[in-house]
Amino acid sequence: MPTKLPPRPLYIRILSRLSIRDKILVVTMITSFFAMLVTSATFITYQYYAFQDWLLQNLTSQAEIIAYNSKGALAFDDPREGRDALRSLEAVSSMTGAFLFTADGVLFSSWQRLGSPDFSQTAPDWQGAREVNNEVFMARRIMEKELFLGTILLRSNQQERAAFLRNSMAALVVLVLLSGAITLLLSTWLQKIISGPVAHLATVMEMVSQRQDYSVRGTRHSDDEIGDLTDFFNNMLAQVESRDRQLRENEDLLQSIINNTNSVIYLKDMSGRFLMVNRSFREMVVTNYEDIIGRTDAELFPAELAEKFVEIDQQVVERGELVESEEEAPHSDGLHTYISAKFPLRDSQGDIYSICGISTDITERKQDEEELRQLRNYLNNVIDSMPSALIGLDADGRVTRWNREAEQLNGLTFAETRGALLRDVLPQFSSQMEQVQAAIRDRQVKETSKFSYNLDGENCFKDVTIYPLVANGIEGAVLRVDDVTERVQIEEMMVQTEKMMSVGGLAAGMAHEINNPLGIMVQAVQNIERRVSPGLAANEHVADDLGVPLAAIHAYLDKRMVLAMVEDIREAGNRAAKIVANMLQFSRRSESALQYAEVAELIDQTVELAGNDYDLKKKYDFRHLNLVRNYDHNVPKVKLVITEFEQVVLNLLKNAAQAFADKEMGDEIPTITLGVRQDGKFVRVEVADNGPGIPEEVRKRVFEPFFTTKPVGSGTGLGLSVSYMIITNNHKGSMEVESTPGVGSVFTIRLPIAPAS
Amino acid sequence: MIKILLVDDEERLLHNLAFFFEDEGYDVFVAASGEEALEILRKEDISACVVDMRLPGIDGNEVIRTAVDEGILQKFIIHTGSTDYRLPADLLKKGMGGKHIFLKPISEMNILAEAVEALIKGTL
Repeated sequence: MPTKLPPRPLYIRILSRLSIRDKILVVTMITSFFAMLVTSATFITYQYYAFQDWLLQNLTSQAEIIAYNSKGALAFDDPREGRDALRSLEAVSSMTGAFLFTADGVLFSSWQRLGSPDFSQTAPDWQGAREVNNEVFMARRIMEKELFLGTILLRSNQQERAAFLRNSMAALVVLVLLSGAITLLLSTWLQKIISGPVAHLATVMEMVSQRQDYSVRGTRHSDDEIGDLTDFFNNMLAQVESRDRQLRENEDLLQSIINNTNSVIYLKDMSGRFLMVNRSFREMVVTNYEDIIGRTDAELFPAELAEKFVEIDQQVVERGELVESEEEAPHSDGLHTYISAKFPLRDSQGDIYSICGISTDITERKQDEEELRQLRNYLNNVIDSMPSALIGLDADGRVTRWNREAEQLNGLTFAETRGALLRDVLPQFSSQMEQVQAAIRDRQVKETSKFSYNLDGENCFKDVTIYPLVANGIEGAVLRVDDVTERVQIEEMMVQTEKMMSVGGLAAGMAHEINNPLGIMVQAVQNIERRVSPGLAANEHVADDLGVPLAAIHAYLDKRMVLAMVEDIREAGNRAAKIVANMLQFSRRSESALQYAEVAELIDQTVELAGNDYDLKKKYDFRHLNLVRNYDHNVPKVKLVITEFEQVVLNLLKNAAQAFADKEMGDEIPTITLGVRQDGKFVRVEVADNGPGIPEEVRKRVFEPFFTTKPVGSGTGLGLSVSYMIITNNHKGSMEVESTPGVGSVFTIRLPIAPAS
Repeated sequence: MIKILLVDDEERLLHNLAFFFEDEGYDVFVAASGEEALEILRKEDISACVVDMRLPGIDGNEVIRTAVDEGILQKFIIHTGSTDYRLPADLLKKGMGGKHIFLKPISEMNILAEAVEALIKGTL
C-alpha cells in the first residue's frame, strides 16, 4: 500500500515533472540568477555608497574651494567677486546652486543654474551635508583666522548619483542576462556530467527491469555520488543476480525433486482445483499437465475415490494441520494404495490458500507388510502349535517370546511374562540360567534331559533344550521345554513291565522243569510221613516183618527230629512252589473270567480279610489302624477278576501296615486312606498311608520283581510286582506310586471302565 | 483191586505218585510215554488214568484223544506242570473240563486221590 504523503507545494510538483536534466538546468539557472543578483546588488550598493562618499567629498572640497575663494570677497564685501567664485561651479553639472551668506546670515551672493527649482535662500545654522527632497545641501562656515566670515551653501541635484544608479542597474541587467546565458550554456553542457550517469543508470535499470537480465552492469563515469550510486547499483545487481541464480537453482532443485520423486505431489486451491502437479501425478492420471491444472478430483478420478480425496482435503482445512491418511488411486494394473500427507499452505496473513499433498505408493510395501504379517501369524501359529513350550530369552534372561504351551507352565500369558526375568516367572527353571549363559557363550545347544522339579506335590519331568540365538546379532536363547513326565512314567512302567515279562518268560520256561522236582520233593515227603505213620496196614505189615515196631520207628524218627526235618523239607518245597507260582503270574494270561464288580465293596471285603490275616496280626495289629474311606459310590462297576484284585489290595494293605513299623509315629495316628472315584475312563483306587514314605530310588524300583527292602526271608520281593502285573497286564489298568519320605505314600490303581455293552 | 494208570516221563515223580496210590489201595500201572500208556490201556482194564501232558512222543492230549476215540477209557485226570495249559476244543467236547486239570506240584496228594476216586465213581 503506498504511503500517503502530505500534499507537496506546487513548485515541487512542477519540478518533479521535469527530467533530471531540466531540473538541473532550472536549479542552476535559478541559483546563478540569484547569485548574480546578490553579487551585483551588493557590488552596486557598495559602489553607490562609495560614489556618494566621493560626491560628498567632492562637494565638500568644492565648498572649501569656494569658501577659500570667497574669503576675499567676503572680507572685502565684494558680492561680484563672490558671484564669480560661485559661478565657477557652473562647470559642475550636478551643481544646481551655490549661496554665500554673511556672518549675519544675509545672502551675500548666489548662483543658480537655470531651470532649477526655487529655493528659500536662508543661511543654514548647520554645517555638513544634508539631503532634502532628492537634493544634497552642503553647508560650510568660512573662517579667516578665528574670524567667522560667513557661510557657503551648495546645492546639488543628485543627477550624477541617479545616472550612476541608472548605469549600474543597466549593467546589472546586462550582467545578469549575460551570466544567465553563460550559465545556460555551461550548465547545458555541464549537466551531462551529472545527468548523463543518472540517465545511464536509468537505462540500465530499464534494461534490467524489462529483460529481467541481472547480468547488465552500469558503467561508472565519475567518482562522485553518482559513481558511488552506480557502484551500489552494480553491487545490488550482483546480489540480485546471485540471489536470482540461487533462487533459480533452488527452484530447479525443488522442481527436480518434485518431478523426480516417485511420490505424487500436487497443489490444490481452496475449491479443489489443481494448481500444480508433479510428473508422478501426470503419469498416474496419464494425461498432460494442461489437462490437469484447473481441474478437480471429481474430473480426474472415479467418483467414490474423488469423494474420499475431497473429504480428507476438508479435514486438512478444518484442522489446519497435516493430515496423514491412506488413499487409493487407480492405476493401469488396478488400485494402488498410497500413504498421503496433506497439509495446508498459508499466505502471509496466515490464511489457507492451498492444500499440498504428497502421496507415496505403498502398494508393494503394503503387500510386503501383509505377507510379513501373514508370515508372522503363520510363524506364531507354528510356534504356538508346537507341543513344546518355547521361551525366548535375551542375554539377561528376560522373556522375549512365550508360546501357548509355555503358558501351561505357570498359567501366565506372553503379555504377562514379556520382559520379565525367567527366574521370576518360572522360579523352578532358574537353575537353567547357567545353561542359557553357557549356550550363548559357547554357541552350542545345551540339553538337560529329565529335568525334574516338584509341582503341587507331583514330580514333573522336563527335557530342556537351549538353543543359542546369535545369528541376527542379538544375543539370546530359546528354551524348549518338553513335558516328559508321562514318558518318564511310561518308561518306568515299560522297564518294569519288561523286567517282569522277562521274569515271566523265564518262569514259564522254568516252571515245568522246577515244578517236577518240587513235586517229587513234596510228594516224597508226604509219602515218607505216610509210611512212618501208624495206621496204614502196609506200614504195620512191613515193620512186623522186619521185627521193628512201627511205633518205635516213629518214636525214633520223632526223637531224632527226622520228622521235623522232613516237615522242613515240605515247608521249603511249598515255599519254592509258591515263588514259582507267583513268577508264573507274570506270564500267565488270566484265564479266570472277568466279571463286573463294585470296587469299593471288594476293598471292604479285603479289609475284612486283612483283619483276620494271621501274619498281619503278628506284625501289626490292624485294629490300631485308622481306616479312612473316601468312596464315591456312584462309580460304575468294573470288569475284573475278583480274587486277583483282592490279592492286589491285600498286598497294598499289608505293605502299608508293615510300613508303620518303620516310622516313629509319635502323636500321629497311623492312617490308611482308601479312595475310590472316577477318573475319566477309569476308576481310580487309592491306598494312601501316612507311614515313613519311600525314598525316590526305592520308589522307582518297588514294582521290580525280587526287589525288596525287607529282611531276607521275610518277603519274596514279588508282592508289588505281581500286583503291578495283575493290574496292568490282566486288567489293562495302571498302577503307580507317589511318595514323600516322612509324609507317606499313595498307591494309585486305575482300572478301565468297560464300555457299557 | 481197581486198576489205575499213571503216566509221567519223570520217573521219580511217577514212583512217588505210584507209592501214594498203592498205599491208597489201588493196583497201580505206570507208563513213561504216551505210546506205552496206550499199550497198557489197550491191554489192561484201567479204571482211571492220571496223565502228564509233556511226554516224549505223543503227548497227554493225544493219549486222551486216542483212548476216548478207541473207546478204551473215558476217565482221565490231567496232571501238568504247564501253567498255560489249555484244554483243546475236541477234548472239551469229549467231556474234559477244568475239574480234570491239576497243576504240579501237588503237595497234598490226597486231593488228587480224592479226585481219582470221585472220577471212578462218576461223582467228580
